[in-house]
Amino acid sequence: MINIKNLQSIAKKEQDKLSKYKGMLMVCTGTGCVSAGGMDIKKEFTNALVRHKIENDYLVVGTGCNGFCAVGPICVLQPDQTFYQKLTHKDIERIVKNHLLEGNVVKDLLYKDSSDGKLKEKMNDIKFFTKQMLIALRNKGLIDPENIYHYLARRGYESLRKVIIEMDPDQVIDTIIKSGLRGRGGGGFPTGIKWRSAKKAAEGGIVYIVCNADEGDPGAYMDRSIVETDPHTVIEGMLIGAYAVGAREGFIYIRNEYPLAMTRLEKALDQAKEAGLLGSNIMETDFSFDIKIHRGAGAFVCGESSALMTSMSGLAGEPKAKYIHTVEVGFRDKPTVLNNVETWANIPVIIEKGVDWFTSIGTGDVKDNPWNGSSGTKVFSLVGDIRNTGLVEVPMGISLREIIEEIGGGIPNGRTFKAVQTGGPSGGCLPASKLDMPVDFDSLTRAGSMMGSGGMIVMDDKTCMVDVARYFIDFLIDESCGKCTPCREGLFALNQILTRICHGEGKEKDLEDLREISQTITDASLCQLGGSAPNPVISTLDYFTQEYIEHIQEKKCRSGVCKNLIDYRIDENNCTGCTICFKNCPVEAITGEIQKVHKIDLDKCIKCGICFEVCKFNAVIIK
Amino acid sequence: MLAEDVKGMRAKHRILAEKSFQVVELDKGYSNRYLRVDLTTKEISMHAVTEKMKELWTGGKGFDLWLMLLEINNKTKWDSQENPICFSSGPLGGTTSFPGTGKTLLTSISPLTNIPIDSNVGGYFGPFLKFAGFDALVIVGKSEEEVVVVLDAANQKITIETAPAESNDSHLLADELTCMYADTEIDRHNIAVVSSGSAAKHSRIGMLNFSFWDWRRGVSRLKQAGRGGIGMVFCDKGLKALVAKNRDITPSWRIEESKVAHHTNPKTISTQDCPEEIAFIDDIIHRWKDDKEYVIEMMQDIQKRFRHISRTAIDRINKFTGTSKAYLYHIATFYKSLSLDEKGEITIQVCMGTACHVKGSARIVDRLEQVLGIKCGETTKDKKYSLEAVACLGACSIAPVIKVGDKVLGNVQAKDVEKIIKDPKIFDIARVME
Ligand SMILES: Cc1cc2nc3c(=O)[nH]c(=O)nc-3n(C[C@H](O)[C@H](O)[C@H](O)COP(=O)(O)O)c2cc1C
Ligand code: SF4
Ligand code: SF4
Ligand code: FES
Ligand code: FES
Repeated sequence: MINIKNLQSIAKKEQDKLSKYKGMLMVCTGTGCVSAGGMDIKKEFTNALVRHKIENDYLVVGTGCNGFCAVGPICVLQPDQTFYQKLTHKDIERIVKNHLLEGNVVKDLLYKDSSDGKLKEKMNDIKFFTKQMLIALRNKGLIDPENIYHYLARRGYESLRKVIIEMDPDQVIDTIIKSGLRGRGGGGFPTGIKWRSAKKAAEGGIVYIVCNADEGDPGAYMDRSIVETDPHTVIEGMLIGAYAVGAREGFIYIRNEYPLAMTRLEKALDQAKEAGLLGSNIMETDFSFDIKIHRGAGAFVCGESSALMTSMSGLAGEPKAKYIHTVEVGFRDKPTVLNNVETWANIPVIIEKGVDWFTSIGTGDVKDNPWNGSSGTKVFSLVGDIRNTGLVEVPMGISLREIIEEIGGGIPNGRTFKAVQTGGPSGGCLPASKLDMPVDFDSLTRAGSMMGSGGMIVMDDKTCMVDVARYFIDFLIDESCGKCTPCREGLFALNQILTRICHGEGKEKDLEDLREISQTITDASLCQLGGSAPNPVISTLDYFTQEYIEHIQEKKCRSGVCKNLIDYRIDENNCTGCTICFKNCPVEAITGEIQKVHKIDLDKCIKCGICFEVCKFNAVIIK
Repeated sequence: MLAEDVKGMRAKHRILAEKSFQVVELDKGYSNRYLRVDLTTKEISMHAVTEKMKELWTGGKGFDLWLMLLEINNKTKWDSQENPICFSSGPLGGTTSFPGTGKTLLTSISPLTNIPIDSNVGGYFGPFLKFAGFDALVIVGKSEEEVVVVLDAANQKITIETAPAESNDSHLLADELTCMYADTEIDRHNIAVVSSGSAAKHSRIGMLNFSFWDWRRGVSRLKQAGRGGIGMVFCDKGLKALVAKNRDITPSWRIEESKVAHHTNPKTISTQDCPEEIAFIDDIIHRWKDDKEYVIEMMQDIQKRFRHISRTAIDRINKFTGTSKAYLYHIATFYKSLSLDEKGEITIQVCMGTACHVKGSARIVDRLEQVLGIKCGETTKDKKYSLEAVACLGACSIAPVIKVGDKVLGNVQAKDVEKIIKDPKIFDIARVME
């Protein structure tokens, strides 16, 4: 059993144990890498070590997502940080033999930076990593998420010990308020203030702690990664929160689509309980707190606070009116503190390193008022049409350009940047002219988008902005709970208009109607889903008006996305007659002979785009 | 309800009066005319709305009261010939600008008090009246035979018809008339029905039901004008129903092409009677300690084992947790991971999240639909594959992503789809695609 006296010595013992190894092979077993064979790589490392009889010198660890998923499967040799990427089964033997036994780095498995053409040996030499600053993801790639001792070795549960022995609950709340920490789940509400209100509303009675791991925003997977990489940091954060507000019971509401995260959490909770860090008399003090898991069932709206709590009660997750605050009347009608996974992951670090350190990162002066700025870091999932896709954690205030061009390595395939989408379905699309804007809660909102939970989807010039707007509205139609009319019917009406425009049947007046309906949805919806639903439409209308007008007046989709407005054709000058398209076309619409120009029969063509995909000579063009 | 069922009923209609009209565009919320139907003489007439009326009697209730004043005298009782029922929705009626602008105001002399009463109600009748180009409708007189009045803006005519074969009560009648006057299934949202029922014939508090077609559930939903017992006046006039048919507001693309289409598909609900299966279900429920708060988890576990939620499962959960069956069906249809239809052995999920969308996941869905011969949300006949579109599988960095069974595959291209489906060891495909 771990208690306040022996925690540090246990951590020390574990550190010593790990430092005895000559090195640790941190193999990424996050979803991206696993889909490319990461599990096999891990097994093969273990086998190879045994084959060469060095299994006692090196430790193979399956970690959560390393972040740089674009180049998976990944293995990082710690402590010297050698970064091996795009591994395959046959590479493992070479790493073990050449590098581990003979001390020669395997050059062709290193990452090559396309901007300077150089090989990068160490993880921190890679631009993707150098600009990042890790708080919530501080343990990514460094620990085995399924082993509590790895977490303990990295000063895990030290902050919990600190609050229990050194701080009284109100001091904890005060620290979090002063740190300026704002919710990472979307709204950006100051966390400490939320805690204080819940505590006040509880008047010493029951109060619940809930972690929102429902991550519904499409294109975002930060929360999943945090839970899969470092589940104990979330648990420790919740424990500190519980201590501060006086809760005895907590819940984690997690998305059903994330089975791995769920099992890791279950394991972590069991281990914490067994170690006496969760349950009754934590660390042998009189502080008790327990955590249970609730599974989501695939409804985006359940990420909304009141819907989430309704769903936790075993009901259909329909939101309640805004004037009922869940901090006062929440789960089981008791005051409830709901925070996002990433928010919770920040708590232990703030306690450990202090307010001054935390507020030195980010924008604005938040010491007196957390609303005055955005302190700390934010994790983004940098995805879409960008070279280095993956998870990045950056200090608030960094510019979009730095994230996209430096960390992300720019747009691949010789394309150009068109827009970046943040904030999920409640956010908006920002054009190139906004790239130098600092990334923080208030700047993004001012520009018509939102911080959201951290999806950052980069779009290149072959993305149609009308189609993107329609995509989000489609998504929201599916996800609207249907309780109130403006959201249910208004979104349907927007969909009709947008679909019409995409089909080349748009009318001049449609743009006006889109705005009018949007306004009504925003003003009259019950919950924030409806309240912010038109943002993707409004932001694309504001920044990409010309594209809408082209669709309506010229019946033209310049990005070649809207099926009804395009035809696939073969450019005679580029076609080499390689026959690949002919072989791949599912409806035999392509005719031609070897080494002769091919032709597409437009009457047969179903516009599946496969020929476009397979042609290696850019001979298939979209008109 | 099938169109065939109502065909027979319609064949029994006799047209007693018919008048054609032109739909007019609105000018600042007004068509500047109103419609008057006299059921005694079967006379259908149109009258001007004056500037003065707009200025002095603004709004639905204002118009109704003014039009009443024109009809009644100091002796008029609720069941007098001349007692009108007036309908209007005001200049903002049918706009989307404010909550409540879809409402209809109606007035009449109440059977309860014998003085004027007003009542307001939702449903689509008021807006459709407006879209047809009428600021108000006044109905006076009494018909000997029971009739329906049909205001058909699509064909620009108004008819008074007998309707002997239809049901009496609104919950049936609204569906029947909606299906009867709609040209196609999609057209049903262009029909609104006003009716009362048997109770209104016998009680002074009888009300009126205003319908709208709920395309998600595939039924007419009813909104009530309850105040003052206007339902009884309606019956007393020999009115069975009013029907408004709107000009088609369906866009030329078809609803089946839209992502919302699957909401309109009817579900089939199965039962399980094998004792072992029931025991298995019970076991799952008990594992969650019969706790109401965990009914969603119970259903998920049942879904995982049987690939659908059966009627039996709903009944068992209801028995042990006390959550009502109706509510359990609500849950089962609310959450996307639950399904009343049986899913295939292997579920193929295509991520339609933003990252995957920009990387062309729509093309992958198209291709999968072709290869499997089913649409998204459906299951192949041999119950082998189900195809689902999901929002974000949380592996956005390797978009576009699909999940076959529990294997996640990244960087998928439309041309790989066939290969993936045919290959029993899909796991290796991830490599092939590099
Ligand atoms: C429609 C909707 C969906 C939401 N989805 C999520 C979500 O997936 N994850 C999340 O953490 N917060 C989500 N939120 C925000 C939560 O309601 C809540 O504000 C947040 O979890 C509070 O935690 P924080 O203060 O730490 O951000 C959503 C809100 C709305 C209105
Ligand atoms: S705004 Fe939309 S999601 Fe929110 S309560 Fe209303 S219908 Fe439901
Ligand atoms: S794939 Fe390209 S180059 Fe080859 S035949 Fe087709 S169009 Fe010509
Ligand atoms: S999954 Fe391996 S780096 Fe993200
Ligand atoms: S958007 Fe497809 S996995 Fe996230």
